[in-house]
Amino acid sequence: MTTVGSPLRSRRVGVKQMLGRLALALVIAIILAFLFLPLLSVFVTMGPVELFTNLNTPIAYQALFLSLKTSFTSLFLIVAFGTPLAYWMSRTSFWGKRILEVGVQMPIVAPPAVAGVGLLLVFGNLGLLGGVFSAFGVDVTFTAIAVVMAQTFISGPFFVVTTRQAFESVDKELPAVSRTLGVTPWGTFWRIMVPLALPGMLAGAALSLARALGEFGATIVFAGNLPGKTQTFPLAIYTALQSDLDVAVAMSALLLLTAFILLFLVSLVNRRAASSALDQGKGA
Amino acid sequence: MLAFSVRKRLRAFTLDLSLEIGTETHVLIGHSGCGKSTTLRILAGLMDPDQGRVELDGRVLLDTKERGRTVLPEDRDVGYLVQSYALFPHLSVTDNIAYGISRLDKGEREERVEEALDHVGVRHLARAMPGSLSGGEQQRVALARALVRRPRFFLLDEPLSALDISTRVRVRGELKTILQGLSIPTIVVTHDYEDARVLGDRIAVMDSGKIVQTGTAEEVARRPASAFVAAFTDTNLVGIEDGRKMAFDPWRVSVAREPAGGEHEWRIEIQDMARLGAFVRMHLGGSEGPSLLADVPADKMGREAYSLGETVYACVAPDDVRFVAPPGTQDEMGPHEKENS
Repeated sequence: MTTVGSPLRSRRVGVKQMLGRLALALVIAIILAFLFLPLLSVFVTMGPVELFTNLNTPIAYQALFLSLKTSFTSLFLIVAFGTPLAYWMSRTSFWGKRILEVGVQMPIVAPPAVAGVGLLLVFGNLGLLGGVFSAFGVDVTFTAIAVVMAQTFISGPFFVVTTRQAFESVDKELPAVSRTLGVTPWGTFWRIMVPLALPGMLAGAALSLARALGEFGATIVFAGNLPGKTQTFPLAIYTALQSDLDVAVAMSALLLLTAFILLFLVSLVNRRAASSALDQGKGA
Repeated sequence: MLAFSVRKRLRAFTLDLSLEIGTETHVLIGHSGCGKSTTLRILAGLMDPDQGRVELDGRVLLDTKERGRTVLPEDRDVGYLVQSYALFPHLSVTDNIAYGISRLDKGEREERVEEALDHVGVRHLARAMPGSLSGGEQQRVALARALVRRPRFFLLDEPLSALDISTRVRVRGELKTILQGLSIPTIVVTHDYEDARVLGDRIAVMDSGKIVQTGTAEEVARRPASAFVAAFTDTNLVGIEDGRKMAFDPWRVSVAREPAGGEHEWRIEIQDMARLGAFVRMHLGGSEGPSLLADVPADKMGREAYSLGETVYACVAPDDVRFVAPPGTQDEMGPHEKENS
């Protein structure tokens, strides 16, 4: 009976397999189309010349300049304050470290609008520390400072998390041996830890920068949408959308291109880091 | 002279040992996790003991009784070689060796690096990156990197265990030559008796954080103070009625199917056999009685064709037996001996 039944059954399995593959292909095609079409459409609706003319407006320039200024300021602050934090978190273990790790990552998953509300509650005029700031004659809300704070808050964790992982992946023996070779902890940090963690740090910096450039929710809630003062590029897109779709599309295309270039650089750095890690492993 | 006495609570036991080491190579041998590596980390200054004092040529490196009396690792003039060699992967061989002498002026630095490259025989690798080196080459570069600083004492943590068997014997010989050329206190940590025998002027056997026996390799192998030490040196150690023990070498044991009627004879089961050159090493034992090692010549093995699980008679001639006094009585064993099983 089995000898009679088996060829038939195997053919039926073949048909089933084909149906399965088809279904899988369809699912993948749908999700890829859903992910790529909106992004690609920004580029295909307009030619490059048209894109450029639409971008060539004072409002767009102003917003672009503000975005670059605030994003790079944020990045500087993130690296300056985030690197020591990441290093410390990679080196120590204590009770509750996991909770701290999750806490540091919270801004990644928290809705940006909520982050904006939180910033208002602390740094706003009527906020927890608002009084302190106004006592010194500083009013952060509705200024570029607020924009920087919103961007730093939202995009900082990307750098801190990647950098911590990069420090953690450095062999623990290396800094120990460096000390016995007469080099201080400070010297060891610069001569061993930073060079070896650099690919991860660069990747984290690029992710943070991309996130800061695109920041919308926290900025509009905490800093407002004042052209020339707090209207960053994403906010300008939102504003343009209400009057001129073409300008909004052109600006979106520029932002998307920047983000793509940054992400591409990250993947290049990651590939290099992976291959050099392989070299490291080979000899041992 | 390096003299230290340290005590530190570890998870399963308390590390507690004292040693004085002249300009010689002293091997600490023990199973992994017996506290050998921890001892080296404490001496290098990478870890603090609960209590202890470390003194090098009269200079106090650490004294827990005087608060704050700790010399940092970077100021200890220590050479520290780890099992993985820990070469800095982003630096060339030359830059790795020059890493610890960056404060010297350029001329002297280059001179010393050149000297070190020649000393360990890696001149041809000067520009190579660590990732492209074999295990033996990595070890030589790591040695050069440590020795180029002219340390005043040298600590080597399992310097050979990252190597495969084929290169190990050669590298061990090279290492011995280099260590003999140094005249500073040197401690080598290993779990392998053969490494200890070749490299060490003296050996200290460690178990659970304590030194069980010290002596030359020869002394330790001839008169193991405990079954633990005997197992390391592949020496047979059997207790006899009056509390003494007798030690004898596996190649002095003869195995036969019929009893020979000697003074020291055991009826015993063959539990394992392994070929070792011209011998077959038998692991003999039973539910009661001693466990023995016996080296049976391969040609005899071929004639007799013993099989696993077979019961045989093992005997050793009285002349080949060395009596070891139980701990706490007279003679020649060191002060650290202790009963252990």
